[in-house]
Amino acid sequence: MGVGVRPESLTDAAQRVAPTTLAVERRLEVSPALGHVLPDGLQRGSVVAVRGPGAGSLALAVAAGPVASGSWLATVGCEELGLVAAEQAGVALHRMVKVDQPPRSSWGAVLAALVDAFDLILVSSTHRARARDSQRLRSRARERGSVVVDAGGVWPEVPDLVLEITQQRWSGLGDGHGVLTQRRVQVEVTGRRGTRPRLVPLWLPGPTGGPEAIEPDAHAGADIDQLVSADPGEPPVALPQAG
Amino acid sequence: MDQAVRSAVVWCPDWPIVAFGRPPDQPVAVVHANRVVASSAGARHHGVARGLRRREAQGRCPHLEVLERDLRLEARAFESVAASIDEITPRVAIVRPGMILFPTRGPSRYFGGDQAMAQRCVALVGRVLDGLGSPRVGVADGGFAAALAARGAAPGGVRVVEPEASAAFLAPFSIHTLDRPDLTGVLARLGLHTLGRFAELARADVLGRFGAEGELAHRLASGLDERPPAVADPPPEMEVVVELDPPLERVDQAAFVGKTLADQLLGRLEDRGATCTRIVVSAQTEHGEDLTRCWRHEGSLTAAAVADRVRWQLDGWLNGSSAARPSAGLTRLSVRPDDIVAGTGRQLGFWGGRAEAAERVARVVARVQGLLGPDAVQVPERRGGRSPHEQVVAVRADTVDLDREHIDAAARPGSWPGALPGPAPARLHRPRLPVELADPADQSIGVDGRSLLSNRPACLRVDGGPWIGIVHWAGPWPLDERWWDPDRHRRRARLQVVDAQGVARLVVVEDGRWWVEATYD
Repeated sequence: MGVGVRPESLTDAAQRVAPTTLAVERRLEVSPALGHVLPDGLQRGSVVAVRGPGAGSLALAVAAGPVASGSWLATVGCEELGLVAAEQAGVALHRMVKVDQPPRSSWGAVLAALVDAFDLILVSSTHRARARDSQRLRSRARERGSVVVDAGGVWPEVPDLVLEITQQRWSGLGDGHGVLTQRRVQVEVTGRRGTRPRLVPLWLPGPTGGPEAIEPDAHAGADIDQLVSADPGEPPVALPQAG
Repeated sequence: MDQAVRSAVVWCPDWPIVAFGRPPDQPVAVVHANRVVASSAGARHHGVARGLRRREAQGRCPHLEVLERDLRLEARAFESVAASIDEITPRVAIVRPGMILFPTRGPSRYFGGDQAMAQRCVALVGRVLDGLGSPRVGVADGGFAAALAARGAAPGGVRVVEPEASAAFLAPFSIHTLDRPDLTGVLARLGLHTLGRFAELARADVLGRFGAEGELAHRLASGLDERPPAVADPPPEMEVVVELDPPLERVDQAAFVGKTLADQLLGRLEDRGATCTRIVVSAQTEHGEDLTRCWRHEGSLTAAAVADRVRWQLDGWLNGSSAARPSAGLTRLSVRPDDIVAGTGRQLGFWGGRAEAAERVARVVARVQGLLGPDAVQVPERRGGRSPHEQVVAVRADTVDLDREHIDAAARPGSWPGALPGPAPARLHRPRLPVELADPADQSIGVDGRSLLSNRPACLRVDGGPWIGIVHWAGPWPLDERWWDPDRHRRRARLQVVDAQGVARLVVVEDGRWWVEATYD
């Protein structure tokens, strides 16, 4: 080929002029609805655990932002995940791939392969991951900058961030009439480094059908009971504090 | 002035059918993506032609056997045919399963002329096919003319186009034989209906108007090869090699290796701004056997195409007929480009981009499919329906194009009458969970023929768990689907229920039994 430039020098040049990676780019941006839950977005390379009733919806809401801005989402072992709910949560379905639950022996290999191409991996499983697999996966995710979202208690170690729904309250349904319309939840956000857990209220889903933020205003961090007392209806239901 | 290489083409008609081992008189059609891609003589007799839809084909011939296309099987079965030609010449290139191309200068001189050499090919291949089909051989200047000559030969026969007569031989053929629909559509509208008329145009004019692809088509129409033959061998450092330890004995292990080699090879070619039209796959076994096969492609080979061919070839060697099978596992595998041409392909974004992300995803999907099987990876596809199970379903990832923005661009089907409004449940139980519903007097709840509940539900028990009180509920909403089809008729009534723990569920009653179909997780 009569090309005068050596390929190595081209690679060098590309590296020199490529945009530098800013700290912001080490994060995945979440949708505005989760602005109060994850004010700094998702740290690339981290493991986020989502727990409590409504964990499925919350995991989808977390994934929606990055997927909308071009990231790909893989779900592993989430056989029961509602795809219509995913779409309503704002996940662009054309950038979503669903992988069946791998057998325990190849779970690590499958996840390691997925980390290479997917920014977000949503895992759920009937069994816990082996510690060996999870350690290897974590270092690989750090290197590649992927985020693992654990929606089913798969992760055997302490995750970087835990989002737990501690209270939920559906509205729209009466005694023999109405239809489910919206749900108000309280998310407890716990970081890894001994920070005090934050309580954030959230519509999941809200009046428009997708997740929506609730402005914390004067009630910042307050209990859901006070927050919802404004609207008439049944008293909110406190959840039993079971795992 | 360049001259076309005198070439022979051995063509096994209806190869997709022959590969399945079906006799030609049996009505068989092979379909891909719901279209017939090949039909046996018996099926053609009933009017089953290429391009028909599956239903149309079955309509024309009700006892038609319809088989799904299996490229791996085709390639594997073809290896023994290619191996039989090795006796005549070492320079065999597989164009696709069912067609072989090789230059004839040496073999024709050795066997006493084109005719005699071609007869010998027919005999050799006929012996391998063993009555399942009859090969046809064409000899002409240039591969394109040779392929058309093979098409024109009688079954089990030979057609030789005299040297330097290729242009005249091609002239009366339809312009559409070029198999480039975008280009030939324009040419036909311009009144150029035959290859001869197209070849009469000045090459420079065609290049100026239709670019590189037009020039290539013009060369073919004038009886030349796609490109002048390369004068130098490709540099040896272009070869990509992998040592296999432990030796490779199963083809599923090979799939991954093939993919890696293909990526490396294409990476090296890309660095030079080149692509290749022929690749040579070679392997060595533990016992020192050397296996080599050349694959040719009319356009330029993409990474996926190279990987496919490497996998097919390994499949052919490892699972082929027992005579040709190597006696031990493969220890070394290499792929080298045989014919390097300047790349005219598409340019990716300078920093990569969305297309690159999709390509990477496609690669990883192929890898995970290699680990878990092809059914294990799915992508969502929008369908119509009344229940959340039906509205969006998961389909096998390799049946769709992964970079398909259109799934969301497509007009969303309006919600079907009878579908539940509001948020969809995030958790669909598979299989659905049995549930008991009881009224305040602890009597179980029933639904009558007019879809009315026997009493208001007061508590429920999911899958044999503890009884929990019901705080809110609404329904039942009846659903009577496919009442015209006795086999698929379903009659259900749905209920939304919020229990004392705040959990909302979608409960259905069908044939008098209650089920939790989904949870609003």
